[in-house]
Amino acid sequence: MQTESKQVTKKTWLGIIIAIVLMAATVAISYKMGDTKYYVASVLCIFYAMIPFVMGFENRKPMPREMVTIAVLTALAVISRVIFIAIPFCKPVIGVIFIAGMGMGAGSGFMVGALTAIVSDIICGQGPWTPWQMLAFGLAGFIGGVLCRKGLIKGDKPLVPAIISGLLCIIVVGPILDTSTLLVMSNMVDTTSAGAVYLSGLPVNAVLGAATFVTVLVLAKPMLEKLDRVKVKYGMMEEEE
Amino acid sequence: MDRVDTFSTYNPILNFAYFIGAIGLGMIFMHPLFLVVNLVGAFAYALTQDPKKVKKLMPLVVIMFTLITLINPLLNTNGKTVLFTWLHGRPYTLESMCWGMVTGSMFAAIIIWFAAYNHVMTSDKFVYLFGKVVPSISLVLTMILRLIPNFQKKANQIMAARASIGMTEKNMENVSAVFSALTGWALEGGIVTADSMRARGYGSGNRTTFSIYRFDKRDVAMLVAMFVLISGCVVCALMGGAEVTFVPDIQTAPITNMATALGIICYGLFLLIPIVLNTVEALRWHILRSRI
Repeated sequence: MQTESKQVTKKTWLGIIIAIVLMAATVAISYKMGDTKYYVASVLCIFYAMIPFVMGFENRKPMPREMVTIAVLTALAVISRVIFIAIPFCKPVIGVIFIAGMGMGAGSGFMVGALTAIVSDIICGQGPWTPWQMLAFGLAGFIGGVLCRKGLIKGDKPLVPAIISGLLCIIVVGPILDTSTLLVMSNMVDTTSAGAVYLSGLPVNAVLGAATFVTVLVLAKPMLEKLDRVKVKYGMMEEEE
Repeated sequence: MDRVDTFSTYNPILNFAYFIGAIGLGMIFMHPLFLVVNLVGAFAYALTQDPKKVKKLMPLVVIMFTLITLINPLLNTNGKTVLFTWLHGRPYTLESMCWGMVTGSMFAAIIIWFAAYNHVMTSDKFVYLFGKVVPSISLVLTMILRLIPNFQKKANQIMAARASIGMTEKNMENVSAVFSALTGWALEGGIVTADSMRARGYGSGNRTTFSIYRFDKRDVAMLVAMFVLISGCVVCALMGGAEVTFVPDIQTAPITNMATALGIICYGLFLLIPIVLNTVEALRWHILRSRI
Protein backbone atom coordinates (compact mmCIF):
# COMPACT_ATOMS: atom_id res chain seq x y z
CA MET A 1 0.00 0.00 0.00
CA GLN A 2 2.79 2.36 0.92
CA THR A 3 4.89 1.70 -2.20
CA GLU A 4 1.78 2.00 -4.31
CA SER A 5 0.94 5.47 -3.16
CA LYS A 6 4.54 6.61 -3.77
CA GLN A 7 4.38 5.42 -7.38
CA VAL A 8 1.12 7.24 -7.84
CA THR A 9 2.62 10.49 -6.68
CA LYS A 10 5.55 10.28 -9.12
CA LYS A 11 3.44 9.57 -12.19
CA THR A 12 0.79 11.99 -11.06
CA TRP A 13 3.36 14.76 -10.76
CA LEU A 14 4.51 14.07 -14.30
CA GLY A 15 0.89 14.24 -15.43
CA ILE A 16 0.33 17.49 -13.57
CA ILE A 17 3.38 19.08 -15.24
CA ILE A 18 2.24 17.94 -18.70
CA ALA A 19 -1.25 19.27 -17.99
CA ILE A 20 0.01 22.68 -16.86
CA VAL A 21 2.30 23.06 -19.90
CA LEU A 22 -0.50 22.13 -22.30
CA MET A 23 -2.96 24.44 -20.56
CA ALA A 24 -0.56 27.36 -20.72
CA ALA A 25 0.05 26.71 -24.41
CA THR A 26 -3.67 26.46 -25.19
CA VAL A 27 -4.53 29.61 -23.28
CA ALA A 28 -1.66 31.49 -24.95
CA ILE A 29 -2.71 30.38 -28.44
CA SER A 30 -6.37 31.20 -27.89
CA TYR A 31 -5.38 34.56 -26.39
CA LYS A 32 -3.19 35.32 -29.38
CA MET A 33 -5.99 34.43 -31.78
CA GLY A 34 -7.89 37.08 -29.87
CA ASP A 35 -11.21 35.46 -30.60
CA THR A 36 -14.09 34.45 -28.43
CA LYS A 37 -13.60 30.70 -28.88
CA TYR A 38 -13.70 30.11 -25.16
CA TYR A 39 -15.54 26.83 -25.41
CA VAL A 40 -12.91 25.00 -27.47
CA ALA A 41 -10.02 26.25 -25.33
CA SER A 42 -11.77 25.48 -22.06
CA VAL A 43 -12.81 21.97 -23.09
CA LEU A 44 -9.21 21.26 -24.05
CA CYS A 45 -8.12 22.51 -20.62
CA ILE A 46 -10.64 20.19 -18.96
CA PHE A 47 -9.16 17.22 -20.79
CA TYR A 48 -5.65 18.27 -19.78
CA ALA A 49 -6.79 18.50 -16.17
CA MET A 50 -7.79 14.84 -16.35
CA ILE A 51 -4.36 13.72 -17.58
CA PRO A 52 -2.81 13.34 -14.10
CA PHE A 53 -5.67 11.13 -12.91
CA VAL A 54 -5.70 9.03 -16.06
CA MET A 55 -1.90 8.64 -16.14
CA GLY A 56 -1.81 7.83 -12.45
CA PHE A 57 -4.47 5.18 -12.91
CA GLU A 58 -3.08 3.59 -16.08
CA ASN A 59 0.57 3.52 -15.02
CA ARG A 60 -0.14 2.02 -11.65
CA LYS A 61 -1.52 -1.10 -13.39
CA PRO A 62 -4.50 -1.22 -11.01
CA MET A 63 -5.32 -4.52 -9.34
CA PRO A 64 -8.62 -6.17 -10.30
CA ARG A 65 -10.09 -5.43 -6.85
CA GLU A 66 -9.54 -1.71 -7.22
CA MET A 67 -10.87 -1.64 -10.78
CA VAL A 68 -13.97 -3.65 -9.97
CA THR A 69 -14.72 -1.58 -6.88
CA ILE A 70 -14.51 1.62 -8.93
CA ALA A 71 -16.76 0.05 -11.57
CA VAL A 72 -19.27 -1.04 -8.91
CA LEU A 73 -19.39 2.37 -7.24
CA THR A 74 -19.79 4.12 -10.60
CA ALA A 75 -22.59 1.80 -11.64
CA LEU A 76 -24.25 2.44 -8.26
CA ALA A 77 -23.97 6.20 -8.76
CA VAL A 78 -25.48 5.95 -12.25
CA ILE A 79 -28.32 3.71 -11.14
CA SER A 80 -29.06 5.71 -7.99
CA ARG A 81 -30.93 8.21 -10.15
CA VAL A 82 -33.29 5.48 -11.31
CA ILE A 83 -33.78 4.02 -7.84
CA PHE A 84 -34.53 7.39 -6.25
CA ILE A 85 -36.81 8.48 -9.09
CA ALA A 86 -39.85 8.04 -6.84
CA ILE A 87 -38.64 10.81 -4.53
CA PRO A 88 -39.41 14.19 -6.13
CA PHE A 89 -36.45 16.52 -6.86
CA CYS A 90 -34.03 13.95 -5.49
CA LYS A 91 -30.96 13.61 -7.69
CA PRO A 92 -28.65 11.55 -5.53
CA VAL A 93 -25.85 11.07 -8.08
CA ILE A 94 -23.45 13.69 -6.71
CA GLY A 95 -24.08 12.55 -3.15
CA VAL A 96 -23.21 8.96 -4.04
CA ILE A 97 -20.04 10.13 -5.82
CA PHE A 98 -19.07 12.21 -2.78
CA ILE A 99 -19.51 9.20 -0.51
CA ALA A 100 -17.52 7.04 -2.92
CA GLY A 101 -14.71 9.59 -2.73
CA MET A 102 -14.87 9.52 1.07
CA GLY A 103 -14.58 5.76 1.11
CA MET A 104 -12.07 5.20 -1.69
CA GLY A 105 -9.79 8.25 -1.58
CA ALA A 106 -9.39 11.31 -3.78
CA GLY A 107 -7.99 9.68 -6.94
CA SER A 108 -10.58 6.92 -7.08
CA GLY A 109 -13.27 9.44 -6.16
CA PHE A 110 -12.37 11.49 -9.21
CA MET A 111 -12.45 8.38 -11.40
CA VAL A 112 -15.87 7.40 -10.06
CA GLY A 113 -17.23 10.90 -10.71
CA ALA A 114 -15.81 11.33 -14.20
CA LEU A 115 -16.87 7.81 -15.24
CA THR A 116 -20.36 8.38 -13.85
CA ALA A 117 -20.68 11.43 -16.10
CA ILE A 118 -19.46 9.52 -19.16
CA VAL A 119 -21.69 6.52 -18.56
CA SER A 120 -24.86 8.43 -17.79
CA ASP A 121 -24.25 10.50 -20.92
CA ILE A 122 -23.66 7.38 -23.01
CA ILE A 123 -27.07 6.19 -21.79
CA CYS A 124 -28.98 9.50 -21.85
CA GLY A 125 -27.17 11.16 -24.75
CA GLN A 126 -23.94 13.09 -24.90
CA GLY A 127 -23.83 16.80 -25.48
CA PRO A 128 -21.58 19.82 -25.23
CA TRP A 129 -21.96 19.56 -21.46
CA THR A 130 -20.31 16.11 -21.16
CA PRO A 131 -16.71 17.29 -20.46
CA TRP A 132 -17.97 19.81 -17.93
CA GLN A 133 -20.06 17.19 -16.22
CA MET A 134 -17.01 14.90 -16.04
CA LEU A 135 -14.99 17.67 -14.40
CA ALA A 136 -17.74 18.71 -11.99
CA PHE A 137 -18.65 15.18 -10.89
CA GLY A 138 -15.00 14.19 -10.70
CA LEU A 139 -14.26 17.13 -8.43
CA ALA A 140 -17.13 16.15 -6.13
CA GLY A 141 -15.53 12.74 -5.61
CA PHE A 142 -12.05 14.22 -5.37
CA ILE A 143 -12.99 16.76 -2.71
CA GLY A 144 -14.82 14.10 -0.72
CA GLY A 145 -11.66 12.01 -0.75
CA VAL A 146 -9.32 14.86 0.21
CA LEU A 147 -11.46 16.06 3.10
CA CYS A 148 -11.87 12.54 4.43
CA ARG A 149 -8.15 11.78 4.27
CA LYS A 150 -7.36 15.00 6.12
CA GLY A 151 -9.78 13.82 8.80
CA LEU A 152 -12.01 16.87 8.38
CA ILE A 153 -15.10 14.79 7.74
CA LYS A 154 -16.01 11.37 9.02
CA GLY A 155 -18.52 8.85 7.77
CA ASP A 156 -19.98 8.08 11.19
CA LYS A 157 -20.97 11.73 11.70
CA PRO A 158 -22.82 12.35 8.45
CA LEU A 159 -24.12 15.85 9.21
CA VAL A 160 -20.86 17.70 8.48
CA PRO A 161 -20.09 15.88 5.20
CA ALA A 162 -23.72 16.36 4.20
CA ILE A 163 -23.51 20.12 4.71
CA ILE A 164 -20.16 20.30 2.90
CA SER A 165 -21.41 18.26 -0.07
CA GLY A 166 -24.54 20.39 -0.30
CA LEU A 167 -22.50 23.58 -0.34
CA LEU A 168 -20.13 21.97 -2.84
CA CYS A 169 -23.06 21.59 -5.26
CA ILE A 170 -23.98 25.24 -4.96
CA ILE A 171 -20.44 26.65 -5.04
CA VAL A 172 -18.47 24.28 -7.28
CA VAL A 173 -20.45 21.63 -9.15
CA GLY A 174 -23.42 23.76 -10.21
CA PRO A 175 -21.37 26.76 -11.40
CA ILE A 176 -19.09 24.47 -13.46
CA LEU A 177 -22.14 23.05 -15.22
CA ASP A 178 -23.51 26.61 -15.68
CA THR A 179 -20.20 27.62 -17.26
CA SER A 180 -20.79 25.14 -20.07
CA THR A 181 -24.22 26.70 -20.61
CA LEU A 182 -22.65 30.15 -20.61
CA LEU A 183 -19.97 29.27 -23.14
CA VAL A 184 -22.31 27.42 -25.49
CA MET A 185 -25.12 29.95 -25.41
CA SER A 186 -23.29 33.24 -25.35
CA ASN A 187 -20.59 34.41 -27.72
CA MET A 188 -19.64 37.39 -25.70
CA VAL A 189 -18.67 36.47 -22.17
CA ASP A 190 -18.84 39.53 -19.96
CA THR A 191 -20.07 40.27 -16.47
CA THR A 192 -23.66 40.83 -17.62
CA SER A 193 -24.11 37.56 -19.52
CA ALA A 194 -22.12 35.61 -16.92
CA GLY A 195 -24.16 37.14 -14.10
CA ALA A 196 -27.40 36.31 -15.88
CA VAL A 197 -26.44 32.66 -16.44
CA TYR A 198 -25.04 32.04 -12.96
CA LEU A 199 -27.95 33.77 -11.23
CA SER A 200 -30.53 31.84 -13.23
CA GLY A 201 -28.65 28.65 -12.37
CA LEU A 202 -28.70 29.38 -8.65
CA PRO A 203 -32.18 27.98 -7.84
CA VAL A 204 -31.43 24.78 -9.77
CA ASN A 205 -28.12 24.42 -7.96
CA ALA A 206 -29.81 25.05 -4.62
CA VAL A 207 -32.25 22.20 -5.28
CA LEU A 208 -29.34 20.02 -6.35
CA GLY A 209 -27.47 20.98 -3.18
CA ALA A 210 -30.45 20.13 -0.99
CA ALA A 211 -30.84 16.76 -2.73
CA THR A 212 -27.14 16.03 -2.26
CA PHE A 213 -27.34 17.09 1.39
CA VAL A 214 -30.19 14.65 2.04
CA THR A 215 -28.48 11.87 0.10
CA VAL A 216 -25.20 12.13 1.98
CA LEU A 217 -27.02 12.50 5.30
CA VAL A 218 -29.01 9.32 4.75
CA LEU A 219 -26.59 7.17 2.75
CA ALA A 220 -23.11 8.10 4.02
CA LYS A 221 -23.21 5.88 7.08
CA PRO A 222 -24.66 2.70 5.54
CA MET A 223 -22.57 2.95 2.37
CA LEU A 224 -19.28 3.61 4.15
CA GLU A 225 -20.04 0.82 6.63
CA LYS A 226 -20.48 -1.56 3.73
CA LEU A 227 -17.24 -0.42 2.10
CA ASP A 228 -15.38 -0.89 5.39
CA ARG A 229 -16.97 -4.28 5.89
CA VAL A 230 -15.80 -5.41 2.48
CA LYS A 231 -12.31 -4.07 3.18
CA VAL A 232 -12.09 -6.00 6.45
CA LYS A 233 -13.80 -9.14 5.22
CA TYR A 234 -11.55 -9.55 2.19
CA GLY A 235 -8.40 -8.15 3.75
CA MET A 236 -8.10 -5.25 1.36
CA MET A 237 -6.19 -3.20 3.89
CA GLU A 238 -3.13 -5.45 3.97
CA GLU A 239 -3.01 -6.79 0.43
CA GLU A 240 -1.48 -5.28 -2.71
CA GLU A 241 2.02 -5.74 -1.46
CA MET B 1 -37.11 0.85 -47.01
CA ASP B 2 -35.32 1.04 -43.72
CA ARG B 3 -32.56 3.56 -43.46
CA VAL B 4 -29.04 2.26 -43.38
CA ASP B 5 -26.50 4.82 -42.31
CA THR B 6 -23.47 3.91 -44.42
CA PHE B 7 -21.23 6.40 -42.66
CA SER B 8 -21.71 4.66 -39.32
CA THR B 9 -20.29 1.44 -40.82
CA TYR B 10 -16.92 3.15 -41.25
CA ASN B 11 -14.27 2.73 -38.58
CA PRO B 12 -15.23 4.39 -35.26
CA ILE B 13 -12.08 6.51 -35.41
CA LEU B 14 -13.48 8.17 -38.53
CA ASN B 15 -16.95 8.55 -37.03
CA PHE B 16 -15.50 10.25 -33.98
CA ALA B 17 -13.12 12.44 -35.99
CA TYR B 18 -15.98 13.53 -38.22
CA PHE B 19 -18.11 14.70 -35.31
CA ILE B 20 -15.18 16.41 -33.60
CA GLY B 21 -14.57 18.21 -36.90
CA ALA B 22 -18.20 19.09 -37.54
CA ILE B 23 -18.91 20.32 -34.01
CA GLY B 24 -15.52 21.99 -33.53
CA LEU B 25 -15.65 23.85 -36.85
CA GLY B 26 -19.26 24.76 -36.11
CA MET B 27 -18.11 26.51 -32.96
CA ILE B 28 -15.39 28.42 -34.80
CA PHE B 29 -17.28 29.66 -37.87
CA MET B 30 -19.67 32.51 -37.07
CA HIS B 31 -20.02 33.81 -40.59
CA PRO B 32 -23.73 33.68 -41.59
CA LEU B 33 -23.05 31.70 -44.78
CA PHE B 34 -21.08 29.10 -42.86
CA LEU B 35 -23.86 28.93 -40.31
CA VAL B 36 -26.42 28.20 -42.98
CA VAL B 37 -24.20 25.44 -44.37
CA ASN B 38 -23.74 24.11 -40.84
CA LEU B 39 -27.47 24.04 -40.09
CA VAL B 40 -28.30 22.44 -43.44
CA GLY B 41 -25.62 19.79 -42.91
CA ALA B 42 -26.72 19.01 -39.37
CA PHE B 43 -30.42 18.78 -40.17
CA ALA B 44 -29.89 16.82 -43.39
CA TYR B 45 -27.80 14.18 -41.63
CA ALA B 46 -29.99 13.91 -38.54
CA LEU B 47 -33.13 13.69 -40.69
CA THR B 48 -31.73 10.84 -42.78
CA GLN B 49 -30.98 8.97 -39.55
CA ASP B 50 -34.02 9.45 -37.40
CA PRO B 51 -36.67 12.02 -38.41
CA LYS B 52 -38.73 11.30 -35.26
CA LYS B 53 -35.88 12.27 -32.98
CA VAL B 54 -35.36 15.54 -34.86
CA LYS B 55 -39.07 16.28 -34.58
CA LYS B 56 -38.85 15.69 -30.84
CA LEU B 57 -35.90 18.07 -30.54
CA MET B 58 -37.47 20.81 -32.63
CA PRO B 59 -39.44 22.56 -29.84
CA LEU B 60 -36.28 22.80 -27.70
CA VAL B 61 -34.22 24.10 -30.61
CA VAL B 62 -36.81 26.69 -31.66
CA ILE B 63 -37.43 27.91 -28.11
CA MET B 64 -33.71 28.19 -27.32
CA PHE B 65 -33.03 29.94 -30.64
CA THR B 66 -35.76 32.51 -29.98
CA LEU B 67 -34.69 33.02 -26.38
CA ILE B 68 -31.02 33.50 -27.19
CA THR B 69 -31.89 35.87 -30.05
CA LEU B 70 -34.17 38.01 -27.91
CA ILE B 71 -32.09 37.96 -24.73
CA ASN B 72 -28.71 38.81 -26.24
CA PRO B 73 -29.64 42.50 -26.89
CA LEU B 74 -30.79 42.79 -23.28
CA LEU B 75 -27.35 41.79 -22.03
CA ASN B 76 -25.26 43.40 -24.74
CA THR B 77 -26.14 46.94 -25.74
CA ASN B 78 -23.46 47.49 -28.41
CA GLY B 79 -24.53 48.24 -31.97
CA LYS B 80 -25.53 51.36 -33.86
CA THR B 81 -29.08 50.58 -35.03
CA VAL B 82 -31.24 51.12 -31.98
CA LEU B 83 -34.61 49.41 -32.31
CA PHE B 84 -36.06 50.79 -29.09
CA THR B 85 -34.96 51.79 -25.64
CA TRP B 86 -36.06 50.36 -22.33
CA LEU B 87 -35.24 50.73 -18.63
CA HIS B 88 -34.39 54.45 -18.69
CA GLY B 89 -32.78 54.55 -22.09
CA ARG B 90 -30.98 51.21 -22.27
CA PRO B 91 -30.75 50.54 -26.02
CA TYR B 92 -31.98 47.37 -27.70
CA THR B 93 -29.98 47.10 -30.92
CA LEU B 94 -30.45 45.26 -34.19
CA GLU B 95 -26.78 44.27 -34.37
CA SER B 96 -26.90 42.66 -30.98
CA MET B 97 -30.04 40.77 -31.99
CA CYS B 98 -28.30 39.49 -35.14
CA TRP B 99 -25.45 38.34 -32.97
CA GLY B 100 -27.92 36.56 -30.74
CA MET B 101 -29.37 34.91 -33.83
CA VAL B 102 -25.92 33.68 -34.83
CA THR B 103 -25.32 32.26 -31.34
CA GLY B 104 -28.78 30.72 -31.40
CA SER B 105 -28.21 28.97 -34.71
CA MET B 106 -24.83 27.76 -33.51
CA PHE B 107 -26.54 26.31 -30.46
CA ALA B 108 -29.24 24.71 -32.63
CA ALA B 109 -26.64 23.17 -34.91
CA ILE B 110 -24.69 21.77 -31.95
CA ILE B 111 -27.82 20.17 -30.49
CA ILE B 112 -28.68 18.55 -33.82
CA TRP B 113 -25.09 17.40 -34.39
CA PHE B 114 -25.07 15.75 -30.99
CA ALA B 115 -28.32 13.98 -31.82
CA ALA B 116 -26.59 12.54 -34.89
CA TYR B 117 -23.48 11.77 -32.83
CA ASN B 118 -25.46 9.82 -30.26
CA HIS B 119 -27.06 7.84 -33.06
CA VAL B 120 -23.71 6.85 -34.58
CA MET B 121 -21.41 6.52 -31.56
CA THR B 122 -22.79 3.53 -29.72
CA SER B 123 -21.17 2.45 -26.46
CA ASP B 124 -19.19 -0.37 -28.09
CA LYS B 125 -17.63 2.11 -30.52
CA PHE B 126 -16.83 4.41 -27.64
CA VAL B 127 -15.09 1.64 -25.73
CA TYR B 128 -13.26 0.52 -28.89
CA LEU B 129 -11.95 4.05 -29.42
CA PHE B 130 -10.59 4.56 -25.94
CA GLY B 131 -9.56 0.96 -25.34
CA LYS B 132 -6.23 1.53 -27.04
CA VAL B 133 -5.33 4.78 -25.33
CA VAL B 134 -6.49 3.95 -21.81
CA PRO B 135 -6.87 0.15 -21.53
CA SER B 136 -7.61 -0.04 -17.78
CA ILE B 137 -10.18 2.73 -17.85
CA SER B 138 -11.93 1.29 -20.86
CA LEU B 139 -12.08 -2.10 -19.13
CA VAL B 140 -13.68 -0.37 -16.15
CA LEU B 141 -16.07 1.36 -18.56
CA THR B 142 -17.05 -1.98 -20.08
CA MET B 143 -17.68 -3.40 -16.61
CA ILE B 144 -19.88 -0.43 -15.66
CA LEU B 145 -21.97 -0.75 -18.80
CA ARG B 146 -22.52 -4.41 -17.97
CA LEU B 147 -23.18 -3.84 -14.26
CA ILE B 148 -25.96 -1.30 -14.73
CA PRO B 149 -28.64 -3.66 -16.11
CA ASN B 150 -27.45 -6.22 -13.58
CA PHE B 151 -27.96 -3.79 -10.67
CA GLN B 152 -31.31 -2.69 -12.07
CA LYS B 153 -32.51 -6.27 -11.99
CA LYS B 154 -31.21 -6.79 -8.46
CA ALA B 155 -32.82 -3.56 -7.27
CA ASN B 156 -36.16 -4.78 -8.62
CA GLN B 157 -35.68 -8.06 -6.76
CA ILE B 158 -34.91 -6.25 -3.51
CA MET B 159 -37.99 -4.06 -3.95
CA ALA B 160 -40.13 -7.12 -4.63
CA ALA B 161 -38.77 -8.82 -1.51
CA ARG B 162 -39.50 -5.74 0.59
CA ALA B 163 -42.96 -5.45 -0.92
CA SER B 164 -43.73 -8.97 0.26
CA ILE B 165 -43.21 -7.83 3.86
CA GLY B 166 -45.39 -4.78 3.31
CA MET B 167 -42.72 -2.17 2.61
CA THR B 168 -44.26 -0.85 -0.57
CA GLU B 169 -44.31 2.85 0.19
CA LYS B 170 -41.89 4.89 -1.91
CA ASN B 171 -40.49 7.16 0.76
CA MET B 172 -36.91 8.18 1.45
CA GLU B 173 -36.45 5.56 4.14
CA ASN B 174 -37.55 2.64 1.98
CA VAL B 175 -35.75 3.74 -1.13
CA SER B 176 -32.47 4.30 0.68
CA ALA B 177 -32.82 0.91 2.36
CA VAL B 178 -33.10 -0.64 -1.10
CA PHE B 179 -30.05 1.28 -2.28
CA SER B 180 -28.10 0.35 0.81
CA ALA B 181 -28.90 -3.34 0.37
CA LEU B 182 -27.91 -3.10 -3.28
CA THR B 183 -24.60 -1.46 -2.28
CA GLY B 184 -23.69 -4.30 0.07
CA TRP B 185 -24.52 -6.97 -2.46
CA ALA B 186 -22.80 -5.16 -5.31
CA LEU B 187 -19.55 -4.51 -3.43
CA GLU B 188 -19.18 -8.09 -2.24
CA GLY B 189 -20.06 -9.41 -5.67
CA GLY B 190 -17.46 -7.09 -7.13
CA ILE B 191 -14.72 -8.48 -4.90
CA VAL B 192 -15.63 -12.03 -5.92
CA THR B 193 -15.47 -10.98 -9.58
CA ALA B 194 -12.09 -9.35 -9.01
CA ASP B 195 -10.67 -12.42 -7.27
CA SER B 196 -11.97 -14.54 -10.10
CA MET B 197 -10.22 -12.26 -12.59
CA ARG B 198 -7.00 -12.59 -10.66
CA ALA B 199 -7.31 -16.35 -10.41
CA ARG B 200 -7.64 -16.50 -14.19
CA GLY B 201 -4.42 -14.58 -14.61
CA TYR B 202 -5.50 -10.99 -15.11
CA GLY B 203 -2.47 -8.78 -15.32
CA SER B 204 -0.02 -11.62 -15.89
CA GLY B 205 0.36 -10.86 -19.58
CA ASN B 206 -0.85 -8.65 -22.36
CA ARG B 207 -4.59 -8.51 -22.63
CA THR B 208 -6.13 -8.96 -26.06
CA THR B 209 -9.31 -7.19 -27.00
CA PHE B 210 -12.01 -8.22 -29.39
CA SER B 211 -13.44 -5.76 -31.83
CA ILE B 212 -15.43 -6.12 -35.00
CA TYR B 213 -14.02 -2.96 -36.56
CA ARG B 214 -11.42 -2.97 -39.33
CA PHE B 215 -9.45 -0.17 -40.83
CA ASP B 216 -9.45 -0.91 -44.55
CA LYS B 217 -8.87 0.94 -47.81
CA ARG B 218 -12.11 2.88 -47.84
CA ASP B 219 -11.36 4.09 -44.31
CA VAL B 220 -7.94 5.29 -45.42
CA ALA B 221 -9.48 7.09 -48.41
CA MET B 222 -12.09 8.69 -46.16
CA LEU B 223 -9.46 9.74 -43.64
CA VAL B 224 -7.44 11.47 -46.37
CA ALA B 225 -10.54 13.21 -47.75
CA MET B 226 -11.55 14.41 -44.28
CA PHE B 227 -8.04 15.64 -43.56
CA VAL B 228 -7.89 17.63 -46.82
CA LEU B 229 -11.30 19.22 -46.29
CA ILE B 230 -10.60 20.14 -42.66
CA SER B 231 -7.25 21.63 -43.72
CA GLY B 232 -9.12 23.77 -46.24
CA CYS B 233 -11.42 25.02 -43.50
CA VAL B 234 -8.52 25.76 -41.16
CA VAL B 235 -6.66 27.66 -43.90
CA CYS B 236 -9.81 29.66 -44.53
CA ALA B 237 -10.16 30.46 -40.82
CA LEU B 238 -6.51 31.47 -40.49
CA MET B 239 -6.73 33.73 -43.56
CA GLY B 240 -9.74 35.43 -42.04
CA GLY B 241 -12.14 34.12 -44.68
CA ALA B 242 -14.86 33.52 -42.14
CA GLU B 243 -14.44 36.79 -40.31
CA VAL B 244 -17.52 38.63 -39.20
CA THR B 245 -18.13 41.49 -36.79
CA PHE B 246 -21.47 42.44 -35.34
CA VAL B 247 -20.72 45.40 -33.12
CA PRO B 248 -20.89 48.26 -33.72
CA ASP B 249 -21.69 47.40 -37.33
CA ILE B 250 -22.41 44.15 -39.19
CA GLN B 251 -19.54 43.32 -41.51
CA THR B 252 -19.03 39.94 -43.14
CA ALA B 253 -16.27 38.67 -45.38
CA PRO B 254 -17.72 38.59 -48.93
CA ILE B 255 -18.14 35.31 -50.80
CA THR B 256 -15.98 36.68 -53.62
CA ASN B 257 -13.06 36.56 -51.19
CA MET B 258 -10.85 33.59 -52.18
CA ALA B 259 -10.46 32.33 -48.61
CA THR B 260 -14.18 32.55 -47.94
CA ALA B 261 -15.04 30.65 -51.11
CA LEU B 262 -12.46 27.97 -50.30
CA GLY B 263 -13.78 27.69 -46.76
CA ILE B 264 -17.42 27.41 -47.80
CA ILE B 265 -16.66 24.72 -50.37
CA CYS B 266 -14.48 22.64 -48.04
CA TYR B 267 -16.87 23.06 -45.11
CA GLY B 268 -19.90 22.17 -47.20
CA LEU B 269 -18.25 19.10 -48.71
CA PHE B 270 -17.04 17.97 -45.28
CA LEU B 271 -20.46 18.25 -43.70
CA LEU B 272 -22.09 16.49 -46.63
CA ILE B 273 -19.81 13.41 -46.42
CA PRO B 274 -22.34 11.11 -44.66
CA ILE B 275 -25.24 12.23 -46.84
CA VAL B 276 -23.26 11.70 -50.04
CA LEU B 277 -22.21 8.26 -48.81
CA ASN B 278 -25.78 7.32 -47.97
CA THR B 279 -27.09 8.58 -51.30
CA VAL B 280 -24.42 6.75 -53.30
CA GLU B 281 -25.16 3.61 -51.36
CA ALA B 282 -28.90 3.93 -51.92
CA LEU B 283 -28.39 4.53 -55.64
CA ARG B 284 -26.06 1.55 -55.94
CA TRP B 285 -28.60 -0.60 -54.16
CA HIS B 286 -31.37 0.66 -56.41
CA ILE B 287 -29.36 -0.11 -59.56
CA LEU B 288 -28.39 -3.55 -58.32
CA ARG B 289 -31.98 -4.36 -57.53
CA SER B 290 -33.31 -3.11 -60.84
CA ARG B 291 -30.89 -5.39 -62.67
CA ILE B 292 -32.40 -8.50 -61.15
